[in-house]
Amino acid sequence: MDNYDPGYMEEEEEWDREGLLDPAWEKQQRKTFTAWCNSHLRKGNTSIENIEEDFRNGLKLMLLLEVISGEQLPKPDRGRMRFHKIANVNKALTFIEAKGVKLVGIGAEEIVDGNLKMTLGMIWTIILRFAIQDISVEESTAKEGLLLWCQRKTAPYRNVNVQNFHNSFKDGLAFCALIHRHRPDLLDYHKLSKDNPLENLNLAFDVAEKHLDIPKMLDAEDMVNSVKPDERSVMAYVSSYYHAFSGAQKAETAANRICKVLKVNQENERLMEEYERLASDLLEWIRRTTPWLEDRTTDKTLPGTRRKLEEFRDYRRKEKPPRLEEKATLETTFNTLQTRLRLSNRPAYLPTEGKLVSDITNAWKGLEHAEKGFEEWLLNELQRLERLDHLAKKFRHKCQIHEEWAQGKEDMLRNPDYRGVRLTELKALKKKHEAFESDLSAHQDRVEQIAAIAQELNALDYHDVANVNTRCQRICSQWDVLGELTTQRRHNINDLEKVLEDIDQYHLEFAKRAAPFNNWMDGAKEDLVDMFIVHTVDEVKGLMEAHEQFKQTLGEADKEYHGIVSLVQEVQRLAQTHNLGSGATENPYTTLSAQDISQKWSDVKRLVPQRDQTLQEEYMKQQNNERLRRQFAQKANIVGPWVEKHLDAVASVGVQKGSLEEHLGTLRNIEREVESFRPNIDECERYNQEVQEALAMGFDNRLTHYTMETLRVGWEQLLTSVKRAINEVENQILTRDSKGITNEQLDEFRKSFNHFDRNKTRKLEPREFKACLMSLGFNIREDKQGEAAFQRILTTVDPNRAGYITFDAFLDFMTRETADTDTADQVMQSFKVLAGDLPYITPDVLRRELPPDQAEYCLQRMAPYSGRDGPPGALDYTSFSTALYGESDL
Amino acid sequence: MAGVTAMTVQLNRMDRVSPWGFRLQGGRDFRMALSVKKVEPRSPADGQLHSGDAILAIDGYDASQMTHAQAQQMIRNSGNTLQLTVNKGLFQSLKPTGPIKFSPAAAYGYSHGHSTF
Repeated sequence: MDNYDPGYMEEEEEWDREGLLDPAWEKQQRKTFTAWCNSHLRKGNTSIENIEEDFRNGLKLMLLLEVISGEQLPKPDRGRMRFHKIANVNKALTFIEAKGVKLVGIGAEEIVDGNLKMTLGMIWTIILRFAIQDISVEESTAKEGLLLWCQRKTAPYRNVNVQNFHNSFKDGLAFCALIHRHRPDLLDYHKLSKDNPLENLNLAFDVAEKHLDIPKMLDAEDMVNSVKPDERSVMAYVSSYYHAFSGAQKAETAANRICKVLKVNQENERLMEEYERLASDLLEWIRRTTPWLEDRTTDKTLPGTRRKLEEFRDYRRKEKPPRLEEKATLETTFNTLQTRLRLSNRPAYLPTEGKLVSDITNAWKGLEHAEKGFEEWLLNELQRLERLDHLAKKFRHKCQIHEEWAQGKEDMLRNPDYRGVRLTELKALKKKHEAFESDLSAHQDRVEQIAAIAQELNALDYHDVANVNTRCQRICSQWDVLGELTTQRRHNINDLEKVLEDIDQYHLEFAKRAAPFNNWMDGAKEDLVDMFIVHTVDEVKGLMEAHEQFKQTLGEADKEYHGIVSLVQEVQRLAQTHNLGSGATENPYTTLSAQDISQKWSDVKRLVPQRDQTLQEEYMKQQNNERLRRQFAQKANIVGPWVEKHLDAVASVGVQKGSLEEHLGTLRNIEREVESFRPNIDECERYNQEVQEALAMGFDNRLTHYTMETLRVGWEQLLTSVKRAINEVENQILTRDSKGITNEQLDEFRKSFNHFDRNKTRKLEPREFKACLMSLGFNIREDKQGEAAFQRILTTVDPNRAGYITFDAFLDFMTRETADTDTADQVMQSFKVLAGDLPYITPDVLRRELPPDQAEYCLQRMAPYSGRDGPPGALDYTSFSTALYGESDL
Repeated sequence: MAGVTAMTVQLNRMDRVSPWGFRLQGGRDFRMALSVKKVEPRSPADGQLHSGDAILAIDGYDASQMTHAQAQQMIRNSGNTLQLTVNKGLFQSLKPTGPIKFSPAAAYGYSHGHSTF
């Protein structure tokens, strides 16, 4: 306090003792104090004009004290008598004295009488007590405190040196400096000059009145013209600056804190909505898709089944991958949200019923379960249908051959051509019929085959089974009729047989040999155009060997053919030689002609090389399939181990030494590697599709133990685990930075965490977590109570009951005491500042002090204030602040 | 270190509108045990409850399944007396006393008793 002018204090004491007042100072005080009183009385919707008159009845004096103290005074007497007025003034004076102020020489009578000096003295006491005494910078006295505040605030300004409350303020620069220091936007200090005191003073007073809501209390001319301005007036006015600026600063700090906290809440709520929306969307998709995957039925036709396979491929390649990404986003949103909640000291987030992360995981598992084996089933179905189709073709082919053979046979059998013929002709007819009977029994096999194929088609649920059955039924019925007719005709001919005999040996022999040969040729033809379906090179080789064996028998057959043909040639030669009629060349023993045999024989010979070619083509096709399978296997054998190796690499990042940033770097590298590896997966997909399109699937690829399905699963697992690991490390960095943990501490925590994470899942089971805590010195006893205590710890580290503890949650638990986070009390305190120390806050104040967004947030959630002292519309910020943190005062 | 034991305290107040003077946190809806966050000096709760106490029962009713709002309502509506069964300073009693340092040996006593390791 050495820098104080010692005369300053002396002067005031002398001044007080003598009760003297310089007339110029009196004039200034009267003006200043009136304005000061009015600056407070306006809050009570009143004012004074004449300071010594308007306080005489004590009513406005009491009101003034209530406004500036914020306290209630006793009820004033309403009477107009002098003693009423004295009583009211005394109530005011008693209140002032109760605040620890001694009123020397000031009595109620003098105030009631309108004594100006006494009135001004009393008002000064009030100003000193209520506007200045609370200002104490570094434990100085009230006046020194105000002076020190002025000195500190004006220190950076040249031309300003505040040493007192009179002449130091005379040139007005001190006022301007105070304003500029707090609100540089209101005036341009550097343009001001010491030589324009009037201009400076008026500028400060105008700006203060207009922008800071401080009424004019001083007169610029009085300040300039008096030798020494009245220090009480200057102090009263300067104290208004102090309150305006310190109040504004406090309110701004408070508003900033509230905004920060509310923004955290809004962002968290936005994340919660985002999570809910994503979860609903994903679950809805899974709900829609799963039944389609579970449905293992087709329309039984090939095109319909192929379309279904196309749909499945679309699902795998286009529809599912973005959904998998959505699922990963969902998990990271959830983890980020929980980390943010923990870091901002908020209760954990619990998703709506049925939208827990575990629910999503289960639904996804359900989907994968439904999907499992779908493709394999579809391909098998496709193969089954092709085999069926082939069988149906075989059926139709055999039916056609049989129907052609059966054509006209009924009419022939019904024809009574044996009546009235000669014996020889009858014998011939008999032999012819016998031949027919052997032919008939030879055809019995085919009819049985037709029936067997039809039965198989029925058993295999062929889609057009109705037509098959109709045709089969017709053939079988006709076959029965033929059998009956044959028996009948044989009986008729046998009746006449005894009288008919003559045989042409050649014809007989021809008939004997041609019929079996013809049947053999029929069988051979049928075999040569027989359709086959094979899947391996070996199978087709088997067919080729069978064909080669068949060709070996052709030499014998050719001999037989020439033998048979030579019989006919012999007949013709004889007929020609002996000039016999055409009737003689007709062979009565058989319906077969030499032309029939020749035609069929040339057919057989033509079909042999055709068969060679068909088999050769099939052989090429199988070789190609083998190549495709090898192509896929070679690629799969590279991709599979690559994916496994990188999965291991991701899993091992967390357990390696090094800072989180290094881990993050490693993971980002892996992520990039994985991303650039994607074309290999696409290549595999292409090879796989080529294999499928060649229908070489459905049989184990001997060259690799990887299937496309296992590769896809591995690949997706890799994508997901890289993303998840990056998110975990990022959250750890967030936690570490916001909690100010050193890398050494983090290493310590990680070392102990990894030690107990036996299976390297980067999660601790509750049992492992307990051992980990004990290893770090936590005292958890081996009894019921110790277990109960541990269960309570579990509810805080694993609030979602996932059944495991992540490193994040572990870190958070270990550092929860040291974290510097905002608390309900801090928020409450900030609202209290905005509310001007009142226990409630009004919507007007909220809208004035907070940005519109945050103000509306508060207005929608704050409960009405329940105390009796609040105005209508008052809101309860206390319960709002605690509710933000899931707490309540009781 | 003192063991963790449950005890019942009784709070009294002059009328039904006066606050009990403590702050409640947790509840089933927050997946966190109900507990005392802080205590107001010179209130009915002062000296009876302490920050960190876990609340096990309210007026004899098991509190382990109550939501925050249910517990809040029950405590507010309790007349002029309130009985709380609490575990005294549960979390504080578990915390390590020295600096946190990793030592696997400290967990051996635990691990021998179980087949996990």
